[in-house]
Amino acid sequence: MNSDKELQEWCESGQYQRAFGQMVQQYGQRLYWHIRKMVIVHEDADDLLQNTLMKAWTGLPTFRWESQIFTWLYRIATNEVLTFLKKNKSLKNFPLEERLNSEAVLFDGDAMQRALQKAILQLPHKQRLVFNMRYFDEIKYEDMSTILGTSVGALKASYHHAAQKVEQSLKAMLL
Amino acid sequence: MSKEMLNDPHLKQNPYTVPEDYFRMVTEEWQMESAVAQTVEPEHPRLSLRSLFQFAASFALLFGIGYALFMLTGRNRADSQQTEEYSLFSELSELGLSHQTVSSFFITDMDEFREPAPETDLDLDELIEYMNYPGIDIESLQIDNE
Repeated sequence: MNSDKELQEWCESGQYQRAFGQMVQQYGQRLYWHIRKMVIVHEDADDLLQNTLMKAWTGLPTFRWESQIFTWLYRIATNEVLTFLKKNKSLKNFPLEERLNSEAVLFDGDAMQRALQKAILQLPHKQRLVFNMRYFDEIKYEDMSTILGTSVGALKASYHHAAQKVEQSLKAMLL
Repeated sequence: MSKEMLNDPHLKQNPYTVPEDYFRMVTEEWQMESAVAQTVEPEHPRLSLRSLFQFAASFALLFGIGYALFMLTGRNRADSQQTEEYSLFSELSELGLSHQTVSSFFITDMDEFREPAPETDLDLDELIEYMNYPGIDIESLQIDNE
């Protein structure tokens, strides 16, 4: 795995293509899953990943290397997701809960995992982001703070409330 | 139901799937995309420290030229002339000349620029009468002795 320092050296010597190729290889999957858990459907996740990578590619020469590259990429992806959830009209006709039940969605989990995903979908968008990033991706609160622009204390509180809600929803669904 | 359930590693596993070879295709596609894009987009939009200094120096130079032109157009010439006159005045004073003497120099200089009075042909009799005139017409005086 290449460090940020190595990627920075490549960029500073003009090897943007090399650095970006490495970034896609290194962080592409994580970014995809981060997006996919929020929008559920693969096609939308793919579109948003393409947008994210396009913005990262065009913005790479302006990246200051003061923060970690993965927090910057996550921030772009998160903005794309939130914009999609806020503005996409198809979500009204085809809500996220229905997407999860659709046969078209590529889902390979069991009943417990499906129940968990349904419980998570009942959270507000930003709380769902915090829960996913902490529970599934195990991102540190400090990094989440950089990505979401929220204080560590607020993120901890948000995750705590989200976990409580998810537990209650799971209890209602399974018992 | 408790926190133990959320701590179950099975629940933490990703339940979603992707089409076959999806990630390999994304990686290859973007490596090709960036290779094409790099050939047409080599510019760096970042402003370097050097270019910022160049911009500041250009601004200072233009400001200096503008200020010099402003001064040369005579907007402040009256002030500068007054300063010179005061300087000459103080310089002469320092040579030991009194303030009155120095002032008289300037007054004399100013008299040189006055226009001379027009010359007229005087009648000699009128001149004698004018010179003998005491200022008082004695005959017209009426002294009241009472």
